[in-house]
Amino acid sequence: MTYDDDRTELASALLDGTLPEEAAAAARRDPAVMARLAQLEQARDRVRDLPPAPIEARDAMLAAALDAFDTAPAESPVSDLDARRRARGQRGQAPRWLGAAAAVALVLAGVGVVAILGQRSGDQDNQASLSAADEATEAGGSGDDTSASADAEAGAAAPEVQDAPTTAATRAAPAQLGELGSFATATDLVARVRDDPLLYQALSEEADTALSGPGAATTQAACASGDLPSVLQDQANAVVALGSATVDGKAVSVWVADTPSGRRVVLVDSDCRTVANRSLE
Amino acid sequence: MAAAQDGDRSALDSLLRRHYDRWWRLSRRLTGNDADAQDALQEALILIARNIGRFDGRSAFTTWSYRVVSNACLDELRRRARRPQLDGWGPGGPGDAGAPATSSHLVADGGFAGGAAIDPRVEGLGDRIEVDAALARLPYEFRVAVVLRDLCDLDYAEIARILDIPPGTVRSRIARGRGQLADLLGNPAAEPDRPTTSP
Repeated sequence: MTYDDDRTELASALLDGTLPEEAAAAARRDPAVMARLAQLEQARDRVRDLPPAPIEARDAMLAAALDAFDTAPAESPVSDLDARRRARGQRGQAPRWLGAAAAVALVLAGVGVVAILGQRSGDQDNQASLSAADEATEAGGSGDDTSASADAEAGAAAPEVQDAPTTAATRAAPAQLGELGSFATATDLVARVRDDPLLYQALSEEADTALSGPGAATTQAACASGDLPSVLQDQANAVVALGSATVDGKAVSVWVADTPSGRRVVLVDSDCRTVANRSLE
Repeated sequence: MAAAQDGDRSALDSLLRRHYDRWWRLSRRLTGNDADAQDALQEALILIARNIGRFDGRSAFTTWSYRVVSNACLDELRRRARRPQLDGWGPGGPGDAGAPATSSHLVADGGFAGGAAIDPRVEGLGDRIEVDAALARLPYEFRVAVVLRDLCDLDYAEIARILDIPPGTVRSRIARGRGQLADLLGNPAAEPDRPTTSP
């Protein structure tokens, strides 16, 4: 630790009033520490200077949260450490195809990450910071509280993809759209997918498949064995992007595929039912 | 709180409204712009609403809720990092991508130049943009610790519970984060340090 670090630590502790009286008195006699204290105070005051929350957004956000409350599933994400461990154990007993799906998804995610990293320029600092935060969250994520990440972990929104190559033509590794967020309706989600910049890149690639398309939306269970959604179970279709989202409080996986009738987005719920099948064009 | 846990919708509504502003402030500072803050906070509100019945009370509601909000912000930042940006002023805004955004940057781009009278709503915006840009350049571990302390006024012990790290690590991250933030605000070209991997 350098002298500057020591000075900053002392100034920070002074600011918070956590130094013992004697040490605080000694620190106050050091002009360098007091100068640093003034800098930290100024920075703190600037962090505190925020405009009030936008009122117009607040009511809509609260309404969406209350809707989620009304439709909360019987089995909510777990909220304590033991329960989380139990949940992990139960996940460990999942069918073997789920493990294979995870492995394929990891490979596809890796390809997606490499592709994205190749496209991005700059921002190395922020990326490094987020990566470090990822590690910290994963390493320290065993607390007793529910987190957004924990919710995503507990959710059933991950698309099952391991059988994709055998049931539909995947032109290349599908783009990973990740978690797309929460939407009131499937229409809102489709609009979001349509505007996704990552998907836009996928769309800009040459579409070279001319194939026969899926049928209309169906509620038939399709992925009990890890297959593609039933509407995409055709060699003619090519999955171009995968993601997950929440629609009207329900987790869905998001499949984007090239079909003979054009590019379509298919939403599949956690019971493997196709809940929407919309054109993206 | 108990009524909300028992399924009382209006009680939950009151609870969410009571805490909304402080969650908004946390979300806004962690994400660096209004749009991402709204997305993150929306996710967090839904998580809180869905899980309120399962909240076991072993920690304070504020601790739990701050944890949900800060994790939702981290998730939002990860999503943002996956999205290609057209420039440094994409969805992440000035807080995104470590862009060296300053008020002078805006003026140079024509944003506020021209000598017209400043709209009261805009007054102070340049300063806030600089703070957003400086915060965005802090490692997330430092940023969240500083914001929980300096914006939310939480003590070290509560921050430690929220972040699930020892209080000594909280103290160290706050000090280092504050120091880097002060340096960045005093000298936007400064290069922030990275946290060590061990607490």
